[in-house]
Amino acid sequence: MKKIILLFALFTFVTYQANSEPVLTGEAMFDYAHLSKTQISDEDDLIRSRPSVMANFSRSLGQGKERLSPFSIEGSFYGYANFKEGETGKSEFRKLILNYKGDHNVFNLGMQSISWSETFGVNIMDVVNPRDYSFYVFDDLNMSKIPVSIINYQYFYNDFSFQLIYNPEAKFDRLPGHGSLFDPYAKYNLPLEQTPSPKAFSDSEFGGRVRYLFSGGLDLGFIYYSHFNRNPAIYLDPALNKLHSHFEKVNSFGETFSLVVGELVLRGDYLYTPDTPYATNDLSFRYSDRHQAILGGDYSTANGFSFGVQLHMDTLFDHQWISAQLKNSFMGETFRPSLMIFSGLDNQDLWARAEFSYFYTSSFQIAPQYNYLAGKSGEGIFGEFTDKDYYQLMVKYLF
Amino acid sequence: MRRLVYLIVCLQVFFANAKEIDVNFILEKSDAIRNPSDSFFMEVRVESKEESEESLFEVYTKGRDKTLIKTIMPTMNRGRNLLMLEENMWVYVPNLKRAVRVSLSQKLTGQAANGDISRMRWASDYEPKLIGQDKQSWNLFLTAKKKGLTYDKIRIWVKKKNFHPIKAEYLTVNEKILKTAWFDGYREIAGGVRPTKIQIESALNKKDTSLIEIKKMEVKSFPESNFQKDNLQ
Repeated sequence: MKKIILLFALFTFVTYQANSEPVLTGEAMFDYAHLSKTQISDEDDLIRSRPSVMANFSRSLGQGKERLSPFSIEGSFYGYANFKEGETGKSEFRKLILNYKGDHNVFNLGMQSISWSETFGVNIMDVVNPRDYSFYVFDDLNMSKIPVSIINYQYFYNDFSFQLIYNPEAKFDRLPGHGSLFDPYAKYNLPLEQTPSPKAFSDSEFGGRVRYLFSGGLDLGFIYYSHFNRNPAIYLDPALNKLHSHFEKVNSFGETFSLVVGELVLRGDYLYTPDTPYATNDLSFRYSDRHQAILGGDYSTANGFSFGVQLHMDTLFDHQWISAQLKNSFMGETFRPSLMIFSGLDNQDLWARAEFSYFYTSSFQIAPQYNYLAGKSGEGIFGEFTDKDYYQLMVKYLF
Repeated sequence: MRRLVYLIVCLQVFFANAKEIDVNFILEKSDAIRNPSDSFFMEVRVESKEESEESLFEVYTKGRDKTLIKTIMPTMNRGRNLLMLEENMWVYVPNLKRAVRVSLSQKLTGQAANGDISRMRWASDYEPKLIGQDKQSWNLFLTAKKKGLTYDKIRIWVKKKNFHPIKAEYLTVNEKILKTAWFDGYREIAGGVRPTKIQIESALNKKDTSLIEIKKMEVKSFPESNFQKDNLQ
């Protein structure tokens, strides 16, 4: 709460100093999700029924609108109410930064999210932000990233760039509510204990990225980040008969690339995290060197059609998956159907999502979707969610 | 006698030069009509037959190969910003909150391709050849010097009087017409008389047309950091 007051005070101060017009955009949304096959009762099978507002604002500081100012303040405020019984609403800044944009230098100071991945879906390279697993992996990935207050410096010179990040106040992943519909550990019915929260400054996270765009179009990047493990290692403590979620500092090294060959875009991400703590299927605690890789390609045409395929590999689960995404747009881009399939190659995981997004007007969007889930318990990542297929309806008003 | 020989030589040189018009010079002069300087800002409105609503873009150009296009309207596409660095392009996807690498074939809206707004300098991208002329105009045939451009070949007509581009036919590798563009609405803007309306018509369906209107054009300088995929938001 103190932080929010401080951030508000900072925002009020800098906007008072500014003499330019602020820019305010955003969306008001209603999101309803429900299991399609009855598990407990109609009321208990409700996943979410949530009206929300996301307001994005930006204001350049110090100079008039017609002249470029190197300083600006940018933010996104998100708040929702919850119509589901027993769950409350929440409000938070998804972004609140003071931005300096020089010719070759950019500073972003404050709460933000960092995207380093080239591939879609799992975004293995996005290690700067911890994850909110409240809805397991099914949430919009952008919303499942927990914003962190960091110092983010970028330097650009022609086709070369590097970025340094320092996070003095690390955070852990947010785990699914104990016993909630998408809690993979609900079946154990045991209390969950967590590693004590990280200390500011002494448990800080840091790292960066180097990027170069070659003349042939190859965009190559290398990252290093020292952070708390982003995979919750939840193991059984037999002495206490409790589940324990374990977090500790690890180092990640990675490489990203993208290359365009005609209409085809090739992209790839690789992340190596030595000595990652994890829990086995029988909930024993272990360490392992983790290699994650995603390699994919997508083909798109000028009329809005796109088709992409990706191969996913993770040595921690010792499995491979393939994902495919098909998108198109019709009726002057107002109707945008899409289909995503994520399937295990050597396991029975299957997640299929069909969405039919329709813009009734340019500001009013209706997006019904259906999610089919299947898997084998103790194998892959969706085993615990077989028969938890769900439908979701999102109604959005953009302002 | 010496004077006569000198006069004959001078006349020969003059006529020889008159026959060999410098096509690169024509193209550069024509580019200068459309581009006020190395670094400039445009506010562009695009009206298309196939789109229900008009589109509004802010275009930031720096040098010959850096362009940032910000989508202001329609609301459903707001924030879908495009960055072009040479033949490389990224689009910012607002709901993913990240920039995604895409191929250059991605269209802007209607019949307007990204290249119609972002690559307004033909001289650096194409090899010109004079294929015809009349009293009013030169007719040049342009062949792409590099891969990855929006159009492989272009046929253009340039007014002799003032180097104003009149018309362009955008062609495939096999020289089939994809689209035809007419440059119109010449008026004083950003320190010169420039075309402010480009009417584009599809060769496949003549009813598919788009009107690109330059509402505002200003000579401005921008920091290098604006043209980076990490700052595309």
